[in-house]
Amino acid sequence: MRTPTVRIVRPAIRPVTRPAPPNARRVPPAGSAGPAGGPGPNRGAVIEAMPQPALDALGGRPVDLEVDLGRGLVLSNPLVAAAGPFGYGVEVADLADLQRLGGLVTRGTTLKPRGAHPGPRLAEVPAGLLVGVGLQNPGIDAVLDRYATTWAKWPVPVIINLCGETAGELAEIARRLEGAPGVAGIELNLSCGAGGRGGVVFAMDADAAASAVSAVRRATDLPVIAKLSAAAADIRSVARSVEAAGADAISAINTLPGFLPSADRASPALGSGFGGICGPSLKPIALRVVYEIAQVVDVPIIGIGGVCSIEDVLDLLACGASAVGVGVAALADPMLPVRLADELADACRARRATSVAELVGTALPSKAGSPSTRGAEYAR
Amino acid sequence: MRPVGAELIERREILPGQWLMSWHVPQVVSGSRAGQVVHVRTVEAGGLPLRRPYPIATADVSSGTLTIQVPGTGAAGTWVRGLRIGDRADMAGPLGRPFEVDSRSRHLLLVAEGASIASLRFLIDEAIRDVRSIVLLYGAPSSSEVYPSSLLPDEVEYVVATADGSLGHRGPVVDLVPDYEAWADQAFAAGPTVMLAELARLATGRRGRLGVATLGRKRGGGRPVQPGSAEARRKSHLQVGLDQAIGCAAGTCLGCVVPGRDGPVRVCREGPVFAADELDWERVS
Repeated sequence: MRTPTVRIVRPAIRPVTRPAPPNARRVPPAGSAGPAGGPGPNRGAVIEAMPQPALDALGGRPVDLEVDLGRGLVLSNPLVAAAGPFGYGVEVADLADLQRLGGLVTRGTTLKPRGAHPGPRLAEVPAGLLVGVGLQNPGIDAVLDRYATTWAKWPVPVIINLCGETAGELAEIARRLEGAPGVAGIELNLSCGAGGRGGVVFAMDADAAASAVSAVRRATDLPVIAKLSAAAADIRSVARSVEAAGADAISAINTLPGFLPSADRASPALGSGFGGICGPSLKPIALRVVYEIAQVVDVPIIGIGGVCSIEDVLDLLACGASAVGVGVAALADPMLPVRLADELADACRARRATSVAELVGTALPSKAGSPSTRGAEYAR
Repeated sequence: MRPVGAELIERREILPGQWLMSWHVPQVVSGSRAGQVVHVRTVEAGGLPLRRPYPIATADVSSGTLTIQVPGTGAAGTWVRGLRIGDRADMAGPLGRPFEVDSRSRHLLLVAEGASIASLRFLIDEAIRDVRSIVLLYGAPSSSEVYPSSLLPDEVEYVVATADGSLGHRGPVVDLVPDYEAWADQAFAAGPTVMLAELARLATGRRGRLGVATLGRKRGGGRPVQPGSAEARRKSHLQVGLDQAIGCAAGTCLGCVVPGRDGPVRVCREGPVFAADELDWERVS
């Protein structure tokens, strides 16, 4: 069952999407005492008002896995397919059991069709992959034409990853998404822009990032997720400025630029020269960035970078991510994101948490700590 | 295509650093054809997040086994050497489009270099089953790296070229091709892109022909053939099997894309076997 669009602001008490088993209410959520023993005065009432998620197959305790990213975009669980590996989802819908994911972020999409970088496009690096696909995509109109009606039938929210050289171009794509069926939100790939052509890459600079976000914000009512890059010198100020510019959520991080020479060391390994580093080698960087921005913004964060196991998911949550994106690891194991969602529910039970939100930000300091690097760039 | 579990039956080093592995995996074996690949999840220290594509070298439906040839260098080598008989691996396949042999072709010219011979090895079995004659031209740096003739059926005429001249012709394997052109009906090649590009150039210089059969092509044209179709490959005088890193194998990640004559093509879906004239060899690197 699905509402026509997920852009409906949901009521405070959300309808139960799956019928709860008869014993769902009778099982007291262990680990959270009833109204009498709860930590806050309204604790019991909140639990009472919460939807009752289905029990797991073995009749385990219900765990609330929902994540609210704002503007009515609610993920059924925190596991999201990050932009790239699953393309536009349609070809892999069965292979990856997409409907059980919290969300699907599409491949980066531009206003006009984009051609290809010559091969090779993939190269192995320690604990990761160097990718130089070069934003190959058929353009936003063709994408909507081909896939939007399929997406509209899916329960999984589809978030379109947008790339453009100027803020105006991003806003133009966002306008075309208005009213498109099956589009639940926008992820702005701020690691693009007119870098190298007299302009700036949005994610590198707080003002440029804010200009891109506010242009898109004015153009659409869809939820807007700003995707930041760890390459920014001052990630905290970029995060603060995209929040102020109207981003509903932040995703972090994108790939980082890397390089590898070919086997004979006579040329670059990739046809594109430079590539984006993906995979486990990104994980500590992603954790650092999420940890930093979670201290300075209030909007939810989608943590992305090197997720291969439930430990990686829990680490990102502990550093302040509300949701977690799975990227390149899904290439080798398309079922990984869905399996991690199941393992996350088990991990919550093992930690006696009734809601995944209880695992978020546990590693964060009580007040904002010092930035990862000190210097003039952190002065403001 | 969901991955299935494959069980390692046998593993032996056929050349220094080249392993022939035999896997029991009936679901993948049934329906597999020459040129297709399996996508294997190699479990490696450091957590490499990629499956590796290997051409199916032989497939035996009755026993449900297939063989692949795995270069034992780098991270994959550690995986190969660490495996024991009976170990399982996660395998998806058969993937991609196969070699297409025209039913009227009697003489097949096969050109290979290095470990890519695996995809042509399967074609040899198919061709012998269909009673066609086969010449295999094989190129290697030196005699110690020449594919062992003991692994080839007796029906194959096997001609070797080595870069240092230690066995057979001295020089690149492509040098041998002109001797067999007039004999061949169709040609098939697998190996490094440089060699394939050289062959494709050779074919272009002969009006797209590395072979003499008419292969259903009427003089002066006839019905246009859909690019990328099995018919296009069957009517082509040269088919090539590309060896590329493949990311998702579902056609979504666009990691394996190569430049085609009519725009980019994905090795995992439109390939790995292409008619040589479907690719833009100037830009294939």
